[in-house]
Parts: sequence; C-alpha cells; structure tokens
Amino acid sequence: MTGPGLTDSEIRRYSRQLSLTEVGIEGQRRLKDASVLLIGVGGLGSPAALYLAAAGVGRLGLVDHDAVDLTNLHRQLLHDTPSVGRPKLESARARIEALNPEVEVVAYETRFESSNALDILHGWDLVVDGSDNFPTRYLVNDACLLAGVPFVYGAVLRFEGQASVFGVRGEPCYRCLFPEPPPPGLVPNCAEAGVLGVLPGLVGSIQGTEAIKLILEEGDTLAGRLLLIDALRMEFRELSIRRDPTCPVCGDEPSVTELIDYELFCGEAAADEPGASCPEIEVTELRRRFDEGEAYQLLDVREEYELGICSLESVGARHIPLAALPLRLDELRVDEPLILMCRSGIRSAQAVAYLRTMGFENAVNLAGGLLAWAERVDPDMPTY
Amino acid sequence: MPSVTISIPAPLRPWVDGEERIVVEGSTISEVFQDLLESHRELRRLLLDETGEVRRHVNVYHGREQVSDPLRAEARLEEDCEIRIVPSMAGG
Repeated sequence: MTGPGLTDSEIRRYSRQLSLTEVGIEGQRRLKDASVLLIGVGGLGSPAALYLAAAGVGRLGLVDHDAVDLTNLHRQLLHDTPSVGRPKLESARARIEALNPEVEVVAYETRFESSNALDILHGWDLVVDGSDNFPTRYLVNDACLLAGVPFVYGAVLRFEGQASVFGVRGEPCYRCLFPEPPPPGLVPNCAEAGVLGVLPGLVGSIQGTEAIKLILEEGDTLAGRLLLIDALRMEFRELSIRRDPTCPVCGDEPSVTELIDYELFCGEAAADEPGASCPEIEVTELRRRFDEGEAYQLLDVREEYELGICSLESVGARHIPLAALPLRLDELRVDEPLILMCRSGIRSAQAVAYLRTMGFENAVNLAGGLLAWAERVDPDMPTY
Repeated sequence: MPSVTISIPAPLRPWVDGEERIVVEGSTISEVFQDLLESHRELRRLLLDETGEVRRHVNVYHGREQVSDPLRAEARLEEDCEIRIVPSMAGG
C-alpha cells in the first residue's frame, strides 16, 4: 500500500490520471469507492462500462437480459464473435474483469422493470442509461428520481446522438425535456433506421466522462443541458433544458410518486391517436391471397441496400423506399388492396398511417414484416 | 420576410426527401413553424397530435433555447437564425 487506500499496482495503473489535479489520489479513491449501475450493456453500455472500469470505478452493476447477436458486434465492443448466442452479461463481465480485475462486477440478468427497479437501484451511486426503448427510458428516469440517484442519459439513431445528465437535485429531468413518449412506430429504432457503429462509442464515452465527473464532483456536467451529436457533419450542439415546474416527477407538485406500468404508459400515447391501431394482415393471409391469385399491391418500403438481403419479390413486392413515398403516390392505385411491408412492420406502419392521410384507405400493414414471413411462411429466407 | 433555416433530425428526414435543413420564411417562430407545416404537409402527422398541438416528444429550439409553444411563439426572429426540431430517440 503506497497512497492512502491505493495499492502500488493501482498507483501505477492509474498514474496517467492521478497526475491530473482534478483526480489525484483523493479523486482516485473516490472512483474506487464509487458504484455505477449500467442499464444495458449494448452500444452505449459497452464503452461506458469499459472506460469506467479502466478508470478504476470500484463497483459496476450490469443489467441486461439479452444474448449476444451477430448484429450487435459492429458497435457493442464488450462482446465478441465467440460470445454470439451467449448471455451478454457473461461476455461483459469477462471483458471488464480482464481489463481491470480490481473492479467488482455485479450482474443482474433480468429485464429492468417496475417490479424490480427500485430494488436493483438500491445502493448504487449513479446510473448510466444505455437502454434501447422508450418504456425503459421513462422507467429509468422515474426510478432514479424516486431513489434520488442521478443518471447519465445517452441515445443514438443513425448518425445522431443525444446526451445529458438527469436526476440532479434542482435540475430538469428526462420528462421535463420529453414529457411523453412518441406513439409506437413514429420514431424508428436502430434496427429499423440503422446506426453507425462508432456513434454509440462516441455517446457512451461521453456518458462515461459525465459519470466520472459526477463521481469526482469536478467540471460542469450536462445537467440542465442537452448535447446533440451529429457524426455525419461532426457537429456538437449544446441546448439548454428548462426544469418544468409542472413535471409529474420532479415538478412542484409531483403526481408520479411510485413506479407505473411503463409499457402501458408508452402504449397509451398510441391509444389516443386516431388510426393508431394500424390495419394489418397476417403473413399467412398474404400467402393465401398470392396462392389464390387475388389482386393486391405489395409495397416494400425498405431501403435499397436491404433488398439484397431478402425480399418478397416472389409474391409480387414492388419497392418504393419510405423516403420516396410522398413523391411517388401516383404509382399507387386506390381501387386495389395495398399492402405495405418492411423488415419488422414498423416502418410500413408509418407508411400506412401516412398513406391513409393521403386518401389511400385501402392501405394495410403486413404484420411483423419479413421477420414474420421468415418465421411462419418461409423459414429458409435469410433475416437480419 | 427573413428566411430561416430549420434543422430536421434523422427520424423526420424520410418524410422530407432526406433534407437535413429546410429554409422557410417568417418573422416569428410561429410563422416559420407554420410555414414548415404548410410546405411539408407530411410533417403535420409526425409533429402534431390529433388536437393540432405539438407532440410532447418533440421539442423546438430557437438557438439554444427551448420554445415552449412553437405554434404561438411570437418572438421576432433575427436573420439567419436557426430553428431546430429535437424529438426523443431511444436507441442504445
């Protein structure tokens, strides 16, 4: 033991940051005494966990229930090719422990949900939100605020990212910025819209930076500010976030005093939307119509590059990418059933909603898209 | 009438032919926002709810400041200022 609370090996390992006046021996001890819970060990959680482990945060909690998929590997650097099919927590733990055996890893192989969130949060100093869906985003916000635990927010899509710090006393929360989730399907996810692999690396590293600053109580964190990252233009913009005195969670008279059903909360927004219950047909029904020679128009709204992976051209699919749809309405007939399809049915649901507003009351969605077709009609079709 | 650039975020671009920035005209935030909704009517469904109000997962920024009610904000705009639409995103 050389410095107070640090071993010789730790002094050497962290020497390059010990020399920072903002860290020093005292800061390094703070990091060693700190505990950070990562919700999700995917694109954002990977770099955040790696940097926090490397920096010497003493205890890292990992919450995830997924297995590693081949499609994860272009961005989720905690996992590697041999771990495909294995629980993410296994590869995450192994990678973190290999990087820094001084770090204690606590794994929660479960979905983070209302029934367990407050129990899981108990005893953690700080949360890094690396989740990938709106119900969990709102749950993380509400649970952290109820538990009095600050959290570092990050989100990515295509080439764009957002980062902030919420749950700091007196500062705005996630709901002050986004009071309600979008109706399901209105904002695409990374599986639908894609994401540049290095982008969550950028945003997750920012989350790691903010977490370290919060632990050290150094610098100015992103609390009260929203950082926008545009990797395509390589632009960083900083916007201010106002605390909303009417916020149901952190406002002057909060109405959310316990965790709610967040799936319902995020679904309710859709239930209020006229036409949100998108008319759809099953893949087996499409197969039947094709086999029996019924007339229909089948429109694939995916991007050009996706057509090469798989398609329903064999049952008459034509291609108009979603972006081009408003410009090519004259190619569609209103007097014949119009079936919209994409990979999973989310983008095509948007297309149906749009076409119906444009007078195409014959437009329906192919439920589950190509994934459902591969599962229920053609198991030999490749999926992605 | 000054021209103003509105930055369009990735989730909305498929509906504006991939445009990252759209130039609209107006003297106030409400005028330029209305001009955007008129010139790109497909955005109405994405930005406005069934009551015609701005959806609550969508923020409009003037410079770095949040605009609380873009449909009615009468603050006068300076030449070449930037209006930015910031919707929530959940990817991780």
